[in-house]
Amino acid sequence: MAKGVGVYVGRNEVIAVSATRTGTGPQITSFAIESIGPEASPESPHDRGIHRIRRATPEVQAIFKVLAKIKAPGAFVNVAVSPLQVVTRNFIMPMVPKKDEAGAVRNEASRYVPFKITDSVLDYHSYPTHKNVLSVTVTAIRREILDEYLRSMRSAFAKVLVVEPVYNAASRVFAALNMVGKVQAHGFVILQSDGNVNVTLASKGIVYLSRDFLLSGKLEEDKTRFYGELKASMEYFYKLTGGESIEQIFLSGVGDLKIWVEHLEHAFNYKVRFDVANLPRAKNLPPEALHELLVAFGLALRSLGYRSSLGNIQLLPKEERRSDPAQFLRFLALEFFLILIFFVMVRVVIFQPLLMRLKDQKEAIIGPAEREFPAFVSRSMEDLLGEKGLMNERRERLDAFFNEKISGAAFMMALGQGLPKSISLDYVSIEDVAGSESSQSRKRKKRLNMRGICYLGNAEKETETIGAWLKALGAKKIMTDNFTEIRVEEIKREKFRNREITRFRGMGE
Amino acid sequence: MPFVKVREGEKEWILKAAAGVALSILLYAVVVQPVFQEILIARQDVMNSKKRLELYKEIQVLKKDLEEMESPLATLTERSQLLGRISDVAGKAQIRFGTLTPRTEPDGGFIKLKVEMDGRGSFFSLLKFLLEIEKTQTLIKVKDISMLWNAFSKQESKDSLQIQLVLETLLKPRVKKTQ
Repeated sequence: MAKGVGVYVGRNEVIAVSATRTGTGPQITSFAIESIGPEASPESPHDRGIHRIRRATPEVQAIFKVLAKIKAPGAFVNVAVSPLQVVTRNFIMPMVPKKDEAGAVRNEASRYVPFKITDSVLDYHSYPTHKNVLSVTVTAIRREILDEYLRSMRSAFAKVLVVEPVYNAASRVFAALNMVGKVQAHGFVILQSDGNVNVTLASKGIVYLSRDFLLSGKLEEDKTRFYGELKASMEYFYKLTGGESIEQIFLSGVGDLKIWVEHLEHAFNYKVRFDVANLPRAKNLPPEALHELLVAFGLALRSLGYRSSLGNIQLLPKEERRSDPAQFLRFLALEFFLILIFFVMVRVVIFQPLLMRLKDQKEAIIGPAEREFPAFVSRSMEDLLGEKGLMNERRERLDAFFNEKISGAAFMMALGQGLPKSISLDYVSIEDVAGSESSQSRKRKKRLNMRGICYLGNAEKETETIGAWLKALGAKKIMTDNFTEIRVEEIKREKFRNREITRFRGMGE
Repeated sequence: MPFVKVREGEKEWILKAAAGVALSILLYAVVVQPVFQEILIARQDVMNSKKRLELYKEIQVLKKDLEEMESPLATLTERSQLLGRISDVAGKAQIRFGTLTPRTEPDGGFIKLKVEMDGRGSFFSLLKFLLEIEKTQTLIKVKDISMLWNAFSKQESKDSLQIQLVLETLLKPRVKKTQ
């Protein structure tokens, strides 16, 4: 269930309220009030940062304690500070373009706010009243005071979502309880334990006046003062609004509000209606104490989505604002969603078409091939490479076999043709011999061996005839194709049947 | 060292940005990074398919070439017929071979058949034999020829040459397909 936590830091006390939204309306789930005093010290020593808290200021200790009491240490909280620290002014100014409005309002506000605008944090609510006229309500706080409060809150581990003026919180409660009409000129009076009374008068959602005065604590004297201050404020409001009268004033805060209601109604001759908030009951809380929680309750309601009838004034500079957890998670969810969409789009728009194109390319190759060669699909690259290797080996072997082939008949004819009658061959061989080891191909070589005799009766002529024949033989194509040269390896004279003959040995390689 | 004050709003933006960056890195790793791998695989697939197809076509061409080249070769089962044919041709050429020794050995996917022949005949009968052998449908290679003539014999004879031949052919290991 969604929970809102509001912390009001007054001058004398810190009030924290935790609230939830139920079917019957907003409910206070827990609350705590802690005085700000030097004797105050944290009660739960096991809490984190306890040593730091013990050394901290009384404000920090009080804030830490109230949050611990409502079981919301380190919670996201909405904060309001004592109205004495806050200044609210209403003025009118000419309408300016929206983009220049903030600057113009700051300039104009510097005339009404009693401290330097540059040293303050302000927010405003503008409302066009007449043609080209803006009614502006500015609420400001000195930056150093705000920083002090923020330091205290953060030292007590509170995560500050918003700092707003008390009238916003008060009007939120009355709006949530359906006690205030938007068009009605009404006011809020908040009595505080330090005697300070904050009076806020508004009409149609515009705060025209928000001021403070102090009560002395003496009832009779205070009755007169209360009436006087309120009357003066209402008269001022009357002037500012050009004749509007306050019809209803809501009282809240410390003290016996019934006495004040009776007194003021009587003092104003029952022309103005005074009401107290009809707050939902919380456990262990007397009805009169309920009103003391009103501001903190109104702050807590902000986190539950309840709206103030007096606009949305924030006294926390933008750079100091934190999103509430739900808002933060919503942002993260949106951020994650957008990043996810981006990456999915990158994948779908950029990479998926590329993948599809590559798949189509593959299909364009495989599809027709599958129809043409059905066996192709089942064959792996290794399988095909292996088969190609084997086939290449077979082909190389066949090439080698065919290339080595010599026509034996052609060779014998070449040998026989042109053989001089004086030469007789008694041995011819053609054989394969192994190539040298250094030869790259180790191709087998052919070797031709011939032995024969020549007889002409003249050694010189015989030698000449043998040489000429071998030369002619070596010039024949079949010989040149297979042998680089055919040469005489050995030649000698020999006696055969009482005749001198020439014996020779020829070789071709 | 200068102290940089980071405000609450800035802290929140840093947190949001860090969450965004972390998610972006995660999504990059989960959604985008695997695509690069898929693209690489798909590209390799395309290239592989192209190569396979080219290879397959080359193999088909090689098969046809081989079939043509192998057509003049006999198969292993036709060995005895081949030897018979050689013997017939030798007889017709009037060469008397005393020995005819076939030897087989595997050779680059084929079976090499080497036939060593030893016999006697004339030069012209040898020439005739060689011409006939070369005309046969089966490719037979004359590896070695050796002929020895006894020049000292007194009479010319038809078998004056002592002939040694080594014939060689390749046999297909499978049965030759018949149409």
